[in-house]
This record gives sequence, structure tokens and C-alpha cells, in this order.
Amino acid sequence: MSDLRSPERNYFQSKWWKRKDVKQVLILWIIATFLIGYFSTKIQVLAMGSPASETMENVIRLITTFTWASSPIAGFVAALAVQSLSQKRHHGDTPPPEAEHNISNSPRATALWLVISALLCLFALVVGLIALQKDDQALLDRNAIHVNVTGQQWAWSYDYPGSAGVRSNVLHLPVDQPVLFHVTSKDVKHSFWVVQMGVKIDANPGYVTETAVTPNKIGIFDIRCAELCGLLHAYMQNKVIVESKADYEKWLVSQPDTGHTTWKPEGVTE
Amino acid sequence: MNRKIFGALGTVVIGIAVIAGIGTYVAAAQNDSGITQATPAGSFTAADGKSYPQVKLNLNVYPNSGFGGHHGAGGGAHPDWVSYALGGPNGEVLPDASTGTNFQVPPHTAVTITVYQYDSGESITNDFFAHVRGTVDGTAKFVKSYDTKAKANASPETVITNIPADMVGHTFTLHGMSDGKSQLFVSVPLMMSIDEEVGAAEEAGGYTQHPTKTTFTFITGDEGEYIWNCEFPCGDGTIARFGNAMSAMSYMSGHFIVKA
Repeated sequence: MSDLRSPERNYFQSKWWKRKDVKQVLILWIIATFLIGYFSTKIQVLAMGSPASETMENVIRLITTFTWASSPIAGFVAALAVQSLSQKRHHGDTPPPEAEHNISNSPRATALWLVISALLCLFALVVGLIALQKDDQALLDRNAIHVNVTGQQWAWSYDYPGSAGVRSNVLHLPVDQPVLFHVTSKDVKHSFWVVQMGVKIDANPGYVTETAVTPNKIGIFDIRCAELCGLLHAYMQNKVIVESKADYEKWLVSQPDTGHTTWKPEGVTE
Repeated sequence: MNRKIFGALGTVVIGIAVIAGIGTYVAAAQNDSGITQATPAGSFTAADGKSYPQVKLNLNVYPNSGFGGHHGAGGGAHPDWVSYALGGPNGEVLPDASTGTNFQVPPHTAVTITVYQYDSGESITNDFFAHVRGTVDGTAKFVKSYDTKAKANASPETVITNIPADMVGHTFTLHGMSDGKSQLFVSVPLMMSIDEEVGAAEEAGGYTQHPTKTTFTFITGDEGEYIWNCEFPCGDGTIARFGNAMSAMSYMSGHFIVKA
């Protein structure tokens, strides 16, 4: 039977925000939120490399926003864990009385938690839809050039509808020009991923999937397969060369007419 | 307190040991067929007048892998698996070779590879790989029928840029990035041998006397490690015909190491 006059009893009856452990958690929460938010965004942005399209800039902005939005939750969990683990354990036969967990039966606390969760989900949904809507604009761009992308174990090849049967193993693109990719596979599932442009879409055998991007930086960037596709999946990568429109046209014209049968995706009218 | 610290440290040490053990087991279990050094072969002068040291490799492609030495300790003979292997200078079969499909060549060197193709063929799924790519001048020398007994061409040698997409036996396709350095991409289609001869020779327990012969040269860049594989789906019926020989290193694929 617990002693109602014990110091522990008084402790639980005092105002919660004045308790020492609550203050510790609050301080740790603020510190952890800042550390998690700052380093998580920095590490992620570093890992994704320098963006080479507005799509990628949007992706980075989105990830940064989501990371900062979720870091208070991660920070709170971390603060509680650190505070709890750092306290001394009670030893002996007379354990202190259990705390009165009023919060577990509190409709106000439940409602607050549900509202916060719902708002966070709504925020993620709205911001995500805005970013996706921007990508869709590129898909509808009438000035977009078309590139057919074919994946197979374990290489990518690209052909350029409207050219003289040009095909390449390295993708060439003009800068500041919307590009519509028609992606398919010759064997198993692959995933066409232009890393620094934030473009990734499945390459499925027998189907053509579409995605679009507008490269906004001249340079050489990475293309990888993002779907585990067999023995040499790790080596299914090559480069995309983004160049000026003049250089791109020059390259396209310099390629020999190989007589390849350029497949025409549905909806392409040129 | 000391007990707690030792307990935590012990857990970490045991965890590391378990992971290291799994890694060692996986490394030991992987099929490693050793590394074949390319043979020095004088020098090569490119069309622009630039001279390169030259090395050579002779390879054969078989409709089966009836002998195991080429494929490493974890590989072995698989009668139903097609396979690349080292060959002699005139397409000779080398059943006792201890290395197979991992090759090492020097950087900034002309590499000349001759492939004797003993297997039949079909239509390739992507005619991109029916074309010669990444070689000097974008061409290869091709002999439709080489007589391995007479050690001479049985048909004239021609220069090709591609072969019919429905007559591809296999391809030698070298690709993959190497530590972010220059990309090396070479792909050469290997014409099928005559179907009936391949079948008859296999029934007799051997290989056709008249494989196709393809020779090509490419220039290596900086040091790095790449991979090569056949782009013709020539495995068994699983995984879009990329099972068996196409899903195991040292049969239709291997490492290509550019190193001084």
C-alpha cells in the first residue's frame, strides 16, 4: 500500500510543467529537433547531389520541408528516450507509486493528437500534389522533345524519334528544353532514374511509361537502374550529357544513320 | 557499471563478428574464375596516327559449358549452359585453362579481342545490340566460317558495322561505370554459327568445325573496373531467359579490369 503522504505522491500531484524531468525533456526536445532537422536535411541534400532540373529542386525543397515538419516528432521521441534512459533505476522492495496517467483517458489529448496527425498528413498531401502538378506540366508541354528509353539486362539504350535512326548508349539532351521520356523494357522490370534531375519511372516489359523533365544545367549526370533486376543490376548505369541546343543538334546530325527501327510511342504525332 | 559497459561492448563485438562472418562466407561462396591477363602484342596505330601499346585476348563461345575449369571453383561444368571461355589463337578449345572470364588489360592501350563463336542463334530482342559500338572506327572484322582444322578462314573476311538482328548468336558487351571516371562502352554482336552443324557436333560430343570469327579493337581509358556480359538472352526459360548461365558470373559475364 502506497503512502499517500510520500514525496512521490506530492511529486505527481504538482503542476506537470514545473517538474524537473519535464523541463529536461523540453530542453532536449528543442535541441534534438534542431539537430535532427538540420543534419537530416544536410545529409539528404548532399547524398542527392547538385540538382540539374527544376523537378530535382522541387524534390529537394519537398524533402527539406517534410524533414523539418517531422523533426519535432522525431526530436520528441529522442528526447523522451534520452531522458528516460539517463534516469537512475529504482532498486529495492518498495517501488514508488505509479504515475496517474490521466492523459490516456483524456478526450482533449486524443483529439489534439488526431488533429495534429491529420494536419501533418494534409500538409504532406497538398505540398506533394503541388510538386507533382509541376511535373505534369512538363508532360503536357507541346515543345517537348521525345526520347525513347529501352532498358534491358543490364544496359540502357536511347533513341530519338524524328532523327535519322539515331540510337545511343549515352543519353544526350539539350539544356532548358522539356524532354518527354517513353520508357519500356525488353525483359524484366527496370526503373529509369536520372539521379540529379529527380526523374524515376518504372520500365516495364510490354508497356510504355512516360515521364518528363527539363534539364536546366549543362553537364554530365548519372542514370541508374533503381529496380533490382538481376546479376549485374549494380552496373546498369550510364551518363546523360546535357549540352547547349546547338551542341545537341550538332551531335544528333553527326550520328550515322544506323537504320534502326525507332519505335513510336502512342500519342506521338511527329 | 563495469558490467554494463562490458555487456554493451560485448554485444557490439559479437554483432561485428557475425556481420564479418556472413561477409566472409558470401565472399568465399561467390564464383571467382581468376583473372586472365591479356597478352602483349606490339603496338597499334590509330587512324589519327596516334600509337598505342597493344594487347590481345582470344575467346570462344560454346553452346554448353562441358568443362569446368574456366568457371571457377564455385562454377563447374553445366552441359545446358552456354558459356564464354578462353580459346587458342585459332579457336582451339582449352579445357584445362584455369581462368576464364575476368580479364585485365593496361590503361590507354589498344585491346584486340578475337571471338570464335561455336553456338547457334536467334533474333536479338533489341537491335541496338546487333550493331558494333565503341570499337576503333566503329567496325569489326568478321569471318562467317572459320575452319578450325585447317586453321584458316573458310569464307572471306569482311569489315562490319552490324549483323542481321535475327542472326545473332551472342554479344560481347563491355559497360558499367568505373569510379566516376571515363565510361567504357564496347558492344560487338557475334554472328550465329550454322544451326545444323552446331546441333550435329553437339550430338557427337564436340563443337562445330566452322565457328564464326569476329575480331575487334578498342582503346582503354584510365584505370578502373568494368563488367562485360552477353546482351543476347541466352539463359534458361526463367527471368526473361536470363536464368542459369546469365545469372551466374563467369559464364556469359565477367569483370574487365583496366590496370597498369
